[in-house]
Amino acid sequence: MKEPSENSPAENVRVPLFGTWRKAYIAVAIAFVAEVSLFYFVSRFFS
Amino acid sequence: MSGLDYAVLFSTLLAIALYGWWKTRADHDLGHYLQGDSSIRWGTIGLSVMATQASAITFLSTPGQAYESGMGFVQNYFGLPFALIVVCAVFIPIYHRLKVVTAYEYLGQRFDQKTRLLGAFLFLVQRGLAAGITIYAPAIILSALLGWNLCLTILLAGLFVVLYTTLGGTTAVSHTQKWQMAVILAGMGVAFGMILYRLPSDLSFLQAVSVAGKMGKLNAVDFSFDFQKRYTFWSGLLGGFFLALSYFGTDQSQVQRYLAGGSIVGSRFGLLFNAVLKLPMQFFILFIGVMVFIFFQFEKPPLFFNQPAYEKASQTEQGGKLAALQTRYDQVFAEKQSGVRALTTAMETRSEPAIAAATSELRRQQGELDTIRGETKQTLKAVDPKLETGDADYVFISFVLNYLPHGIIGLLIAVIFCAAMSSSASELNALGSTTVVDFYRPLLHPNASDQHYLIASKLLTALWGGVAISFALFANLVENLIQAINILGSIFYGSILGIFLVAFFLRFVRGSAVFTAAITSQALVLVLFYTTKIGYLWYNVLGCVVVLSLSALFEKTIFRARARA
Repeated sequence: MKEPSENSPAENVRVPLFGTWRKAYIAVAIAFVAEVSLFYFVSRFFS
Repeated sequence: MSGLDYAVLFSTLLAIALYGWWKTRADHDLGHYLQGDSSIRWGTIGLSVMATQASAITFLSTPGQAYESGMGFVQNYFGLPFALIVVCAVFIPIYHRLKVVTAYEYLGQRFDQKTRLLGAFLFLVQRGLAAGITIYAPAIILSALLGWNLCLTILLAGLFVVLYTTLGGTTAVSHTQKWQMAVILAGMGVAFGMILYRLPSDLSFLQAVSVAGKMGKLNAVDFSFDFQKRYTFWSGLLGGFFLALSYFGTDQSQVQRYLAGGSIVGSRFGLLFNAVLKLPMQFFILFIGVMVFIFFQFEKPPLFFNQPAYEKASQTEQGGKLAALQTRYDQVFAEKQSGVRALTTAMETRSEPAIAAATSELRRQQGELDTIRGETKQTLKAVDPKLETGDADYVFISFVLNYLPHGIIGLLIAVIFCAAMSSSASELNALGSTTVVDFYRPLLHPNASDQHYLIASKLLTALWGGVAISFALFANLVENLIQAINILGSIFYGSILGIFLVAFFLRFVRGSAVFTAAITSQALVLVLFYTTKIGYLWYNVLGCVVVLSLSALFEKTIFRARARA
């Protein structure tokens, strides 16, 4: 895993698994939507 | 508890504490003590951040909350993933670039010394009190149910953690938390499996979940706009966002965790790990509480879960009334068991009218049981006005002690101690570091050697451990322990977060304006807390917004005029 240095800002480092930090944040947001949808589905389906 | 349980409990706690000591035995570097070393990678950071937030209260109170009121508490965490994204994108690069040890050092560099000290002071007050509750919470419950001496239980939970945190600092805390979290996750997984195993053999998992849903226990998401409701989707998303942003962005007990190791990639991945896994983990712990509720549809629960308190009250002149309540409770519970069977039968036939009728009858019976429990609590209160009648914190541990096999009981008591120790370790580590870095070094001994600061850090960590243990020894039980921690945090976090957001985003605001705004905001939040009934999560939003708006206003008016003069 390449570490950022003084000359390579963190945003420019290739992020393992996601490529960029922006994509990593979008993946987290998608995971949130999926999780809340699941909770909502469980609430509604079994009520 | 049997000898096997004690063996599992003590061997687990001792092994983790010894591991922490062994990992740091030859390390006498101040930087490593305060900031950790490069052996701390993102996985360790992720588990360490998770273990810091998940205290013993999480595992005692949360299942009890689900048992009483359903899954709505999970909404408290809806803002967390977005807050962690902001921390990763905005806070972490600044902390790494400036190479700060504490978050409040940044305030000194951005504003002035008094704003740095205000931020550090608010942290010390809030976290110092919380550290006491963190140790006290499991001790009061375990001592009540197991008959242990309260003071000895507090000392057992406190001394272990003070010892390895003081000796090993940040590196010891991060590495021990990794294993503590492993024990916690394994223990909760085993508990869940055991609950399912103990359910009636003719009841399928889906039927159990369906009964929980019909009883209104799976209400995880509530989209209503009601400011008086404690947990809704909106209060969780917005209030929870500010609470989490303040907690993860500005609370040194968390900042120290993700800055450990010194790698920006490690810090970010550690937090994103939590952004994805925190919600499922909380959902799972709440779901365990719901499954305990289902278990107690077939097995009669105690009339009051704090059994020692109930038995004590039974010996008084109110004993007759309690006995009558118990008889009524037994009768209604027997009827309700038939009601649950009627519902499961109706579900098998898939007849909607039958399901609706059985659900309605079951809810009526549950309401009757709740009424009897309410009357019991009033009777207990009449016997002992100081008694805390909220018994939700006792639900899960009562189930563990009464229905799980030996060995697993020891493992689950170890889970509770591990959780208490992991949270306390981060708190003591941060309290000691903040006192040295933000107060002792700049104000008392500015030019001492690293060795001097290392010894001062160790002594101050031990001192804060003493304060936390003393507070725990003299604390009183509050309504619901996890809420107490969150309420305490929410009162202070809004103002602290406001200071940081001004620092990041309102570049024209200077120290005096933000300092005055923060003091005003904190006073306003305290007045509102004591005079209104606003849901506590909103204090995070309010405190933050007041600091942001007032600091801009003050900078443009009062302090602009002063600067010109």
